[in-house]
Amino acid sequence: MSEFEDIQRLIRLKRFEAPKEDFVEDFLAKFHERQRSELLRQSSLSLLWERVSTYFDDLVTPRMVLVPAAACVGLLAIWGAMNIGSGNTTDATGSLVSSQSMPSVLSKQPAFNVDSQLIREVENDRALEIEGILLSRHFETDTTLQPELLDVVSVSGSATPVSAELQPVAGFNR
Amino acid sequence: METALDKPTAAASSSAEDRILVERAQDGDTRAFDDLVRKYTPKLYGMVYNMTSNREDTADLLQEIFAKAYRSVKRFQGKSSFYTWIYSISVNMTLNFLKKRGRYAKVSLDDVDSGIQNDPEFVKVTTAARDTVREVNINELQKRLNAAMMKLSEDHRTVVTLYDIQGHQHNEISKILGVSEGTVRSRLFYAHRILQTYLEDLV
Repeated sequence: MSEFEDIQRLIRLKRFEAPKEDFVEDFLAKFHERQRSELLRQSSLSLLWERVSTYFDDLVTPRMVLVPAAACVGLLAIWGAMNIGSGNTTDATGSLVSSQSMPSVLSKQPAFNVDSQLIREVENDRALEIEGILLSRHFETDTTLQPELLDVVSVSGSATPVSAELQPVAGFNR
Repeated sequence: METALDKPTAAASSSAEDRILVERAQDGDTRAFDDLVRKYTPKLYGMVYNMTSNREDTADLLQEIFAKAYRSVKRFQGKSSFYTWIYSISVNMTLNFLKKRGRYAKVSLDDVDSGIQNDPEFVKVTTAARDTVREVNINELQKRLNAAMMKLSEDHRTVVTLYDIQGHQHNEISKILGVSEGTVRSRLFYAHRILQTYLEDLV
């Protein structure tokens, strides 16, 4: 016999704890109810699926499929184009490279700095005067240029006079 | 009331009866499965109840256990007895439930059958108590036993439930739990030692 015989006999008293007599039949009834509800849930889902399938089988003809399919493809294309154009940043996966910034060498534009007294005069002292002259040329029919302004325009090289005529370049089309 | 140990012949006959019911259930005979539910509900109830100490949880869990058995019965190949199979499902699902439920659970105990009044052990415990300072009534004893059971780990509680309360043999418990008989005996030894520390004033 075990040294724990007394404790085993004591703990065995727990077998007297039991549910009421009608527990088993009630339990079985609930089990049936549960099985039925599971079956109904399954069958209602399959019924719904069948009806939806049938509905689309009857409704959708090949010609009718083309229009929504084309619309979907169009929407997808627009969406894709917007995504590419929206400047997505590259991430760790490196999925997009279209929005990568320009290399630093290319992004540096050459500076156009010509240090000239005449340019400074044009830019600083006579800028307003040139603007006034140009505006007047624009609105006046008289296109005679004032002699003191001709040198400015021709020397600066950066400002093309409004009244200058464009001459055809010989051999341009060659 | 289910009592402890089944004799080998009764067990064999019960096993053959189960096999027939299982075959019928596999062929779609729901009444055969109902008979299995009727037969095993009291046994499995006792196992789950003594593991959870909550009768509502026990009833819910038992529904889940039989629902799972019903879904799986067609795959049951008879490599073990139905009895071992359904007990294994029950123990696994109960242990999973206990893990999810956590440590602190509301205790909800069943009434104690009046038959306990005639049990020699109960008479002994209560009679001895009358001569001493303590008084032990049924409810107090029930609470003490339950509290002691809940002190055990889930593995220890399982073997005590199956062996001491339900009367299964070591080899049966070994098959149900999927562990060696040595492990079953070892767990029982330690479980009894722990129980003794909590209940020594009653023995």
